[in-house]
Amino acid sequence: MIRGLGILIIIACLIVALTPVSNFAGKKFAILPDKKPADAIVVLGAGLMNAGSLQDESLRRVIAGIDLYKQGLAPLIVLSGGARRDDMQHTEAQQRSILAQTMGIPAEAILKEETSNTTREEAVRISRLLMHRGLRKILLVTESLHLRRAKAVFESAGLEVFPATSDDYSVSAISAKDRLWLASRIIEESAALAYYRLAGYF
Amino acid sequence: MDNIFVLVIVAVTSAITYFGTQRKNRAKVREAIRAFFEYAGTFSLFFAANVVFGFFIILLIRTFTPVFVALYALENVLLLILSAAQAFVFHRSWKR
Repeated sequence: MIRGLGILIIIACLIVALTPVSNFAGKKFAILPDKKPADAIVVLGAGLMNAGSLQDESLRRVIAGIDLYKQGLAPLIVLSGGARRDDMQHTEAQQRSILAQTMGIPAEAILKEETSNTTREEAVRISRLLMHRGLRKILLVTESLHLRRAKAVFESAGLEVFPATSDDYSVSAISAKDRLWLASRIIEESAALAYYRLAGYF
Repeated sequence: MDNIFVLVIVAVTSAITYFGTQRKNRAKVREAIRAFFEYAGTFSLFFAANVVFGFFIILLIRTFTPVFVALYALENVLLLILSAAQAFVFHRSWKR
């Protein structure tokens, strides 16, 4: 039985690595962008490396958010992301804010959310922050595979969400390594989506 | 194309080694392939068990302490490496 499982796993890995099966699955899972004028652009957190360096994914998202601002789609940009437990001096939102200002976004057009640990916490706290200012329509910037779950919790928190993906992994993942990574992300996000549903978050 | 190139390289070096192996030892290669699949199965079981166990531990920590541990902690590559080591050790010990 264990040998059968091993054969199955090896064959599955080869199929995922050598064929576009994960690209098709990714396309089905991802939410297509629907960029419209909104009250604010919300860029979700993706993590910091040590000494305040933004993770690749964090950088990709914030640049997509800055691009939307420069296109004039919203007058405000909300940058999310807390600190690492081993480095409380830097927060992701702060580091992103520095980058955004370097790229020409005025400080008064930036809001920071530095306390959330999860997507749900981001949805609850950012929606409170925005509704307090009478803002309801947002362009939500995150990874294409994360968007399904993020959109659901932000809508559940009372905001009208226009999806704005920061990548197109389903198309760009063509090497064996990238396809295996894409498959693992789809599995991970499916599990997270199921967990959020079971927990009643949306 | 890159993937096919890699597959061809591995197929050629495997074929050279197989046909360079003495005929009487070739049966052991087939036996080793079977052991490899068993090892892969054992590895996937340990990895799945570690992920599920880790998931429940993180939920317990989040529920009963003020400490926040991200579920992304389970993405750590060390978990893959240690699951592989576990599988190797236990697979060998079950076989002896």
